[in-house]
Amino acid sequence: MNVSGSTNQPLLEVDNMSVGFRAKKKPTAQAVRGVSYSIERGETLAIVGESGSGKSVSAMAMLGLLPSSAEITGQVRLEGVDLLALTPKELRTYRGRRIAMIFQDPMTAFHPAFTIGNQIAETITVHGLANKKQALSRAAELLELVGVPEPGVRVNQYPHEYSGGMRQRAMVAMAIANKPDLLIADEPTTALDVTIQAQVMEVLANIQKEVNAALILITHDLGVVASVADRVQVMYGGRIVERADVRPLFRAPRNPYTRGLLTSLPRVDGARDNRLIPIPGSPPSILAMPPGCAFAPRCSYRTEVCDASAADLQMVVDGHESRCHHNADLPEWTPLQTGSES
Amino acid sequence: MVAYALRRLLGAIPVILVSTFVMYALVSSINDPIAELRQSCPQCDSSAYDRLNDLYNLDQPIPQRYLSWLGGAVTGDLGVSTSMGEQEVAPIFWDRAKNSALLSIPAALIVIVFSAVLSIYSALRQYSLGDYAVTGFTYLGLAMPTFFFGLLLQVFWGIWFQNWTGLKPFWTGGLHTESIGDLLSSVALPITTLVIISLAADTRFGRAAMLETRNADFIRTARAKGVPERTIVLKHLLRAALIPMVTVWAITFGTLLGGTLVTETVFSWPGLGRLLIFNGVFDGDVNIMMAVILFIGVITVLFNLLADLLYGWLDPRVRYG
Repeated sequence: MNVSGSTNQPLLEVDNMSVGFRAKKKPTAQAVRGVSYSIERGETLAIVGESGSGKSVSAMAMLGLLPSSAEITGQVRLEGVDLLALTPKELRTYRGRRIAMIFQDPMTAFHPAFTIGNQIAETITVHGLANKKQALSRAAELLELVGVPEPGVRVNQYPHEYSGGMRQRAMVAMAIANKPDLLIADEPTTALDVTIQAQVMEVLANIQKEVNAALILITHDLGVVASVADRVQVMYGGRIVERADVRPLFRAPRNPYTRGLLTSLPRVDGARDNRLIPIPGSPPSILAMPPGCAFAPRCSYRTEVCDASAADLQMVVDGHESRCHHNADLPEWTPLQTGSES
Repeated sequence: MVAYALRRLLGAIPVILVSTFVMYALVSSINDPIAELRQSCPQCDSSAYDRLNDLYNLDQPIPQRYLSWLGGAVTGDLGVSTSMGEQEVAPIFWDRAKNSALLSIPAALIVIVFSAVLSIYSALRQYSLGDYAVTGFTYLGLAMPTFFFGLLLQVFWGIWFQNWTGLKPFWTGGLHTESIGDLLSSVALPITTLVIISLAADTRFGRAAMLETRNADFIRTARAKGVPERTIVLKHLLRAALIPMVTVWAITFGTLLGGTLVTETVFSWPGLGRLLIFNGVFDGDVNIMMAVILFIGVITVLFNLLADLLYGWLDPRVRYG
């Protein structure tokens, strides 16, 4: 573990990152448009958004996991080193060692023809951190750490002999094998049964505390966010539209889109006859973004200024940012405003 | 695994029995040596007919004839040829099988290696100039009739090349065993023909398998772990794409071994395919036909079994109980 002495520099700084996809005879598709954020060691940052909001793409871009048609601009600095400026060879030494990724679907994310133990061990040996035998016994320890029963037996089993939840635990074990500084979990619970989701999230959160890693949690599951995240940033149309600590964000969301997200979810404490209010319309295509605010076509507070230009991300109250022209004149948020008349 | 293989082999016995019986019944029903003799030798007396009956049990019903043929075949006695003057079929058959193997085994091995290499290259450089070249070449191989390609090779090496240079590096027909050099130069063109024709389909299939695997989630996982690109291709990608390819290779191997009529005909090659069609079918020689049919049946069953066993060895999800 390298705990750097100076604390004024965050672990990871994403600085004005944009990702576009080139295509023949088509305009470049802008999936991520000028995203900036930073994350500290030990912190959990949730990135929330619908499919196509750019949340996964922005994470994959950091690790150079996007296809060659992707054009990435901006900077991603890990302790001051710009990952986007590294050669593929240099970047490879970061992958799996300093930055590890947990993928959405544990069913397909493991190679079907190698044992789980082999695949975890490979993460260690490929960085030259141990020989194969040491790495295999370490793999068994890691499996035990994430709560896989009988790790000594399980380590020699193939992915198809694991259940979905166990596989995702093994995925977590593989990700933390080299005690990375940064964990990126891309929808880690989406493919799991509801009953298993909480267990896996708990394992992930505990492990993160144990190795004191920063965790970027990409998800659309607001329940998961509320239970483990420290900070939340909401993405829409490739931009961050709202960012705050987790409690203020859920207590008083400032952005019309975030409000829409929350009212479209059922609440345990809501009245039985309250209807959910869906957000009308659908997210914009990244090939045809509205010229102004990306959410304007679906927004009930939309005015002319929204169509003309996109708002900046403004600090609304201390530590709570929102990207909206109507930050000042938006009505107060009432959590139970869901009406039954619609 | 061994128990499974043995069980599969036992299970193959009824398959062979049923298929050879059906073939024997069909082939015997349409070929009648007695009628042929009556036509070709009207002055023959009854001793000639008795001799035929004696050799081929023609006075017995077909199932009974089949049983006596089978009894011989199990002990390696494939009967006597009607068309080639009462010669034993077994030595003829083995001689022809050896000649066929001279072409088919090298051709199959070359196809396996080349289709693996070409499909990796093609899939990794998808839509590049090289990929288009491989694709174009394979489509040419798929589209071109075997006999045409064989003739093309013969014309090129036998006439054009000789006219330009005065040299004739390859035999353009026949099996020449006078020396190793003669042997090599007589197998070169037929093997090339077989390779080009079979390589096409296997490479197309391999390319598709590689492309599908290349975009698989577990390849992305390997990349995210920091595995070098070379290892990803040679270990992760190849291992996974090999699983579907093994089946195709086994089929290619079996098909080639069973004789390749057109290529053998174009190159006047004394192989199994020509034995089956010219000596067997055209001359109405039941025992010759049955020998080749039995061989093709056994080869098909064996290579299917081999493919299944390899499949289970490569893919841990397949287990035999």
